[in-house]
Amino acid sequence: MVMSLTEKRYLQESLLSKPPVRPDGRNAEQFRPIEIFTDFLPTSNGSSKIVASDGTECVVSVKCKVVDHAIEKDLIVVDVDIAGRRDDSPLVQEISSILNRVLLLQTDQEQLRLTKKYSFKLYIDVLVLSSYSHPLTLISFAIYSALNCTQLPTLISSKDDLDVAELPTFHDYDMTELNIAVPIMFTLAICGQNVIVDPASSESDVASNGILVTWYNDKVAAPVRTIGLNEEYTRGINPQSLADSIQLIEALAPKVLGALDS
Amino acid sequence: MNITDRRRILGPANAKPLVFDKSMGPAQRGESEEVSSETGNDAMYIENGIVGNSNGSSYLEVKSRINDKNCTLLLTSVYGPRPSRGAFNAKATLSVQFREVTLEKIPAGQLREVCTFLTNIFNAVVNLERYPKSGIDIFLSLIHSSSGPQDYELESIITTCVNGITLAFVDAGIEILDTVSAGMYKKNITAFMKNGTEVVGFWKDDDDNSASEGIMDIVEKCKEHYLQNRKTMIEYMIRSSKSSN
Repeated sequence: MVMSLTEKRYLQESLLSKPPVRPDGRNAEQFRPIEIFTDFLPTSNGSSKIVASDGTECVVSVKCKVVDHAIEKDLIVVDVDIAGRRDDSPLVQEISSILNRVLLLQTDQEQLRLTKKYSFKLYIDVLVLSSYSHPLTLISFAIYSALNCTQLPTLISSKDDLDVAELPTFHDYDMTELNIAVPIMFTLAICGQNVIVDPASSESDVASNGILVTWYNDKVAAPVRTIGLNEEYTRGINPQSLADSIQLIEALAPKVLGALDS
Repeated sequence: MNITDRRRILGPANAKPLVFDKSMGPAQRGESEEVSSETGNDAMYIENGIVGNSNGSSYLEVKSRINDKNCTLLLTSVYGPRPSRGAFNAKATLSVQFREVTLEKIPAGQLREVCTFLTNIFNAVVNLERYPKSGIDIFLSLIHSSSGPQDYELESIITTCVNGITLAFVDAGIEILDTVSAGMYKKNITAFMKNGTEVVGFWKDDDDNSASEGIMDIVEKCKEHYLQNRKTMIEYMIRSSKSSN
């Protein structure tokens, strides 16, 4: 929704007040309701669909392939497609680059190891059907739930294939659950001294700055960085806001993970 | 200074354009411009106004004192404010392009992240209200970067970019709210303005080195480096404005 200058000004003032007054009546640390459906794509190993209350919708599918890990080093590839945006647009390239690096660096690739020679390679396809606010949080939630319900074929041949070369053979119908720790990412908006979580599009439009915080293995991990949520209202922030947002995530992330896992 | 399109906000008829320091002619390397402080980590070589057809430009050579293999050479040029067609914009729009002119080592996606990060920093710093209906384009050319064991260190490149863009803006005479500079500490970057009381950019991409440290400690350490960098830049600007007078 395009807002007039006056509307933006009004919204900015209300977000600057202490405590912030958000247009949809949420608390500073409250998320919008989201709905998640998992494992609904029959042809992929794991899938999830996430729908936010503002109509943002994101589908993630995980597929696997057996590769020789001596040749292919990167065992996770993320491909991001956002409806209405070109593949070479800055937002799409930035999001896919962040996700690729986070998943490659943070996740334990040993879990994908199949035999001494072969590994599973995961192809994670992200399709954002409609997005109104910065989609990174929702995408990372969707990837988290998709990877957590991913089923990989069970290996029945021997694990040691260095001496006797053999191709891995799999059980006809048994699947093993993929068990890896997946990082999740949060976008926060800073409005003056206030830090608000999960900014809606109208809030992003007037935020002084945005912060991306990653949560992995029960602690805040890299990348942590400022991200632009708008071009007009971007301002410098108090260093304390950085600490505040990390504190906020430390308090919130376990609850969010609890909700995602249930 | 190129004044073909300075028609945004004109001022009185007898106004003269604000002239900032001119290029200082051929550089004398290793002499007056090689500025460094004993306590600091970096030696910085600065030269402004090298690119003739741009509105402002800066050339930076940064060499780390700790790791003498870590060296970054960066040329920044600023074009604009130039008119943008189409819809009316009350504020100027900023764009940052990054290019490696010699060896291409950095993946394209990461470059894009750096560009949006830098755009975000300077959206907060440039007084964009002063230039309605215009666009300001920043071109960064990375001439060389090395970092011993790694091929390149993205963090020191970003730090150099922030400092280089600020110097180029000063050279172009584009209004900025403060001399912004970035400081780095163990692969964490913080860009500050207003004497370190405001953060305009924070970047942490690798927490192997500083996982145990709190974010406020990291920001404090970055601030020390920021103050050094800013001092070096301001010293250079004062000296070059003196010598051009």
